[in-house]
Amino acid sequence: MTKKISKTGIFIYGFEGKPGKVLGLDEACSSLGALGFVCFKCPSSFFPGEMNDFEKFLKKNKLSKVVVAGCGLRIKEPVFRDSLKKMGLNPYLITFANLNEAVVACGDKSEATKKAVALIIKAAKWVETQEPVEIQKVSLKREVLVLGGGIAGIETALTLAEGGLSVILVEEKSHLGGGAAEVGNLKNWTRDKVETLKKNERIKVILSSNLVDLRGNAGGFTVKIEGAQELTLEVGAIVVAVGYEFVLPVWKLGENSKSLIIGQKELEKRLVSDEKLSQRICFLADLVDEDLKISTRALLRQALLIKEKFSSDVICFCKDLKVSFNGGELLYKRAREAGILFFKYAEKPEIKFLNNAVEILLINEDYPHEELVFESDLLVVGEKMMPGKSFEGLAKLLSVDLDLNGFFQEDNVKILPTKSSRKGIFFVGGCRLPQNIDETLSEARGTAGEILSFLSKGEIELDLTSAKINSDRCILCLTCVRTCPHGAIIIDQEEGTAKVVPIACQSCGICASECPVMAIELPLYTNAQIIGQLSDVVGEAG
Amino acid sequence: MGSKEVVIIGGGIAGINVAITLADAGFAVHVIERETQLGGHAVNFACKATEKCNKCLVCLADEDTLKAYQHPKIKVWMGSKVVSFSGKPGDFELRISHTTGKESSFEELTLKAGAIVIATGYTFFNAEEKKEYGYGKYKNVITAIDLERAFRVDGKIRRLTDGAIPKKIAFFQCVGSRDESIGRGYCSKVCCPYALRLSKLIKSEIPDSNITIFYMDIQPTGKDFSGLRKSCEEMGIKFARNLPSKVYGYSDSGVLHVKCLDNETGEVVQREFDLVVLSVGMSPRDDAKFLADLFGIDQDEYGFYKGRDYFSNLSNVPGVFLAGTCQGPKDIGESMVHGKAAVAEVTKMFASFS
Repeated sequence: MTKKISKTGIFIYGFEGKPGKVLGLDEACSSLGALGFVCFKCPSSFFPGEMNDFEKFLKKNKLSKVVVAGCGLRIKEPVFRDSLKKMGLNPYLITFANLNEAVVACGDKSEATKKAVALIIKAAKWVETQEPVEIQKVSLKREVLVLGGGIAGIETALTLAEGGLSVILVEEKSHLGGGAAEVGNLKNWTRDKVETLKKNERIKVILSSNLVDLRGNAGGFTVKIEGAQELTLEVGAIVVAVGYEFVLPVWKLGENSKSLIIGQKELEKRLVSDEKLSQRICFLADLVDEDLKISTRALLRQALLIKEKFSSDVICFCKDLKVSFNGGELLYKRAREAGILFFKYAEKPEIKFLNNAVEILLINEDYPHEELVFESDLLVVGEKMMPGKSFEGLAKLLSVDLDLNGFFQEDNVKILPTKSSRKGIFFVGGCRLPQNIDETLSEARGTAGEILSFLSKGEIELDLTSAKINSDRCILCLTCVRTCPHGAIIIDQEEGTAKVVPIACQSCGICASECPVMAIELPLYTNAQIIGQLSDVVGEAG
Repeated sequence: MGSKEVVIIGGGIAGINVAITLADAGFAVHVIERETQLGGHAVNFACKATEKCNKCLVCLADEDTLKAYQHPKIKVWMGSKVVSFSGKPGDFELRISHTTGKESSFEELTLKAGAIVIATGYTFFNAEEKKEYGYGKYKNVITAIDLERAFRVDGKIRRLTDGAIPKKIAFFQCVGSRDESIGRGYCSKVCCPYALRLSKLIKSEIPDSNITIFYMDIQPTGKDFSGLRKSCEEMGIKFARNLPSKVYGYSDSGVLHVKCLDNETGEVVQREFDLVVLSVGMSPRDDAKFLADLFGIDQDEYGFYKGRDYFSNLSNVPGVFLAGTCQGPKDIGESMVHGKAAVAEVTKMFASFS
């Protein structure tokens, strides 16, 4: 085998504005050239996407490894890697020296140039020890498991099935429809959706059952369902769309309070069943949760319905009236025009019980800050949306996190609000954040879109930048298995070692830093590379 | 059946997300963008991190834009617009006119597409329409968008009259939203979140500044919004529930007199501010009607394109889908999700052919 000579080139670009002024680019190039590097200074018009200059530079000098030095490089990295791929080179034999902050902070030109050169040399040393990264093909299962048969789950399942994937929908209860089936204006709509769902051949509905076990990773999960039916399935993705619970705030106000104070959900039941309602009705919103628009929408709809049906006196108290949903402002206007009164408070209102009525005392936030007293036959209070009882167990089973309030925690709102910390597992609807129906349905379809895009090709090409475990060193202490936030590490029983599943690994490096025997490395941040850099810093001092 | 090609009109957050997700699924995608860069409005916004990330999602636009530029299955047509449209679902033909790179030289060409996704976005409310606030007349009355750009480009905010650091700053909410007198009977959803985040950003840059947010109702978005509001209050940002009626610029000093309500006494007073920021809302694009007529899609009473029901991506024309804010106000995260939902609808349509 002939020894490959790897030559490292330096590509400098993108110094406009302040960094360009403080840096002596020509001096930097000549001092790098003196050290034996091939240097190229790009004209300022260079724009990633038109990579001709870059490609020519590599070809002309027959380079296999390159350092790109410039400003704001992080988001441009993929362009350079892609360019290498196109030229038939390994896209990971490249490293980036981001000079922006370091150079601007110097101020003095010769100092800045010296610093830039030092940073570029550091990057060059890094890339010189870089090994090529391999590519692996992984096949993907074209089935999806949807947990929860409320509107979020139904819409996700329908969209997935109509998009060409098979769906298994598992519902804890004995019927579909969830909370929406009990809401007046959504009842028929939900019933129609359930009918469409039942007719779809690609959807298998399993009622009165639960997920009890989960193994594997994105593209190939093995799930076990128990309950009315027992079965084990293989799925490519999992959508969690289980429902939340409504809880009425606790009132220490004696026995007779129960008939005078009800929640919006209870009111909905009475409205649906056409029960005659009292003459003076007050709504109290934002008492337990200020973040949810969902109760404001219900409040406006219910208040209008009561006004129109019974021409009762309806008064609403709230902190802020939340109209940031489809048609919200017009609904609010209609309510005011119908004679419903709205008062806004800054401090929580005081509630007293009279014999057969509730007294509400509040200080109006609008001028003239009067203390207002209202007497009402019925006080309707917005409930608190609470995480479902199953959330904790389910989160543990799926190895995902719950947020501070006990709802499912999305990985990072920046990626896609419905993605979990584990690849291939998604949260839709109220289990992450109770929202209005528009937003919930949009989320359901959006998540389905993401899954369709992910699974429909049946296989995926992965760059193996995921963590690597040295099986000779691994002592099977399970530290990595426990600390991995993405559920990406499994135990290979036969070989007696821990193993990383590339598709699930997000290269966060936690396992590499936690491993007590240093058996784990990230291919793009090897121990040798890090030690090399450290010894540069420390070495001089001894 | 049906060519697996999709044309997306508009390369903002929603359009880009549709493009990337469809391209990843194996579709050939064309993006028609009338500007000379992708990313829409969001690429001009500023990161609103103070000592920590405030989750404004603006950085997303930069990342997604780049992904779209480099995706081998996405072809971007810059500086282009749609001229005509014909055909049926699975087999559309679009004629587009696009710049050839040379100054003001256009050429026309025909694109084939199985589906069309309209993601033309929104425009900001023109603050000059609210004459009483004096935007365009007084230099120190700016819109929140001007403020975004100032932070994005200069990384700081200064008074335009004299370059001084502004100390007394007012935010006016609902400029061009929730106001039927100017034909906008809807809430724009995004102004409360961005005003709160921008005011935090100013306060952390100029710690001795005095910021007041004039508002009607604070509209929450996302998880723990009350936490964001509380953190504003803890930083000393004041919230006043009333909307000022007029801004006066009496002198050359650049000081603005804002006629508003004193919430304590209930009296109408004039308060002095160095800088007034108008939180402008979202409006349908000026040319929304042109595309509506071209494709035969319905608009709602304000001019946004009408989805079939509940945020639907389906327009009244089969094969023509909607994504993002052209359908109604949405924040960055929602636009992204809505874009992905359009992908689902497109995939559904192609699946129904086979």
